[in-house]
Amino acid sequence: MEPSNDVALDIIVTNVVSVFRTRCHLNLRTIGLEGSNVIYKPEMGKVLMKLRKPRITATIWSSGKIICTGATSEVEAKLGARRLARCLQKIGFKVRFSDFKVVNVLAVCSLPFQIRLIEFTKNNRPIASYEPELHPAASYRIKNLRSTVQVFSTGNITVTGPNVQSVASAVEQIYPLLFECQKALS
Amino acid sequence: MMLSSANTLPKLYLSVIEDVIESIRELFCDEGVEGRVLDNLRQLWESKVIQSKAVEGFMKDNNPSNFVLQLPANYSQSLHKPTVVIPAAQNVPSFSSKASSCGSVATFSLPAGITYPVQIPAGVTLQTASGHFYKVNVPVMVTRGAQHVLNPAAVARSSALTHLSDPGPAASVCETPLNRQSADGASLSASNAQSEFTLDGIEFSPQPADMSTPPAQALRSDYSRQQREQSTALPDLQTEAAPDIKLETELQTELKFNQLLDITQLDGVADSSSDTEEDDDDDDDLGLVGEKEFLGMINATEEEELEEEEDPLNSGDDVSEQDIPEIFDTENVIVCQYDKIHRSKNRWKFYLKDGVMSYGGKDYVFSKAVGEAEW
Repeated sequence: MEPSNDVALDIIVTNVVSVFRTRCHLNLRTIGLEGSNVIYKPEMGKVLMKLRKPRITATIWSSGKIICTGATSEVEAKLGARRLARCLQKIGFKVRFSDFKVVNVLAVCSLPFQIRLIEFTKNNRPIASYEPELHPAASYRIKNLRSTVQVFSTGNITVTGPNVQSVASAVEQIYPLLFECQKALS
Repeated sequence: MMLSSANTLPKLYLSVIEDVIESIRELFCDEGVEGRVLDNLRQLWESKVIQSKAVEGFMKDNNPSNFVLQLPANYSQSLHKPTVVIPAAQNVPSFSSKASSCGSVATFSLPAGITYPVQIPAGVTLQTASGHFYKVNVPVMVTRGAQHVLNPAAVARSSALTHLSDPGPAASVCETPLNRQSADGASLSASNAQSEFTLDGIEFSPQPADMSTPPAQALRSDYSRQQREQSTALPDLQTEAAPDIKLETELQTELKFNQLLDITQLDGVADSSSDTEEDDDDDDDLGLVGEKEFLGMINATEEEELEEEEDPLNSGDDVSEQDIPEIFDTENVIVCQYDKIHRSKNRWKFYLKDGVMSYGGKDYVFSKAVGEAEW
């Protein structure tokens, strides 16, 4: 029962969040009126702009800071961010594409077995924490990877981390621990 | 359902026009502008509405002192079918829709509450839906009779007037006793009329109304703009002339300012400090050169490296959006207020109120509208 046998785990990256700056002040009202596919929220001081091609949603502040969400890969996130900056440039702002950084990656993975969460938590204190009254999943924080894994008893897990690499590593790291605590009699 | 809106729409628009005109009458006077100008404005407005064909059966009620007579709409119709229509006040709407559908004969509308027979004294000026004026030289009697007379004669005359109006041959009410005789004969074919009337003794000297014929588009946008101006409390985002212009100039000055900044700040090639705001945006050369220089410096910080390499947002190459369906060129618009606009992921729900929709060239007015869309 080698935990690290050749199991092909499907890690699906569902969301990549990134930020960048335009290095210039943006007039939100202008963007709201003239931009296409925009939602202006003056009460919150931001404009949402949605793109179809990489399906992303960007939150734009007047300071020029932009958060881009919804991409499915780091490359896509960058591409989408650039397209967005291009859109703003076309509206007329002197946009510079700078400080692009991926800040969060969310991935899900479906394990082929169910998990005994209480046992898992006991085995992995204090890294793992489980509070069934608050949330049905046990959360496992990997400090050095700066990633968090949420483990559900069904065998589904969600992983969040600063980049795709760390997410993949987190799954690899946690797999054997989960394998030990699976519900199916091992 | 459509019919119901067609019924009330002309009245609504008429009342809007009435309100506006009356409320600015005093202003006009104060400014020293003649009242005639205001009346011209009104006629122009009404004729534009008709021309736009956005409303069915738009009948004008000019002046309380005049009244307008209504003629059976379609000659051929009246021959084949017993569709003679005469305005009792409550029938006015239904008539108007018929009238517009053929667009041929002069349509007049009688004011509400009128009872037949009606006598039109001499010297009264009548106005048709198409904007032509007819002066009644001889006293006319409009009666409710078993025979309907006018149609054949009217249509016979329509050819005389074809040149005068745009929306199809404007009909003529013109009537000489001679014509009337022949009309009498022909009228027997009609039957089942709700009511008919006769007109005799009207001589008409058409004075073409002051109708300019601007292109249809300008008409409609003009009209819709006026409509918009009348709608109450539009949300801020609705475009009106002034803020638009202001925005434009704002943007332009901003652009100009930035350009100015650019010009003054173009100091050198390799801008080592990466937090300068205005940069080599329009100078691809500078960007390239900068890149080369940095490639030499292996120890460049990550930030600077990133900036230099990726700075030129290639004008139009790969990063440009290349607008996916720009299916947006449409004449269909809705101008309204909103109760709630809601979105979940890409499903949108609209709860709208008090608005006008121009769809397929027709206007529809609503007090509540609900919509759903997927983006």
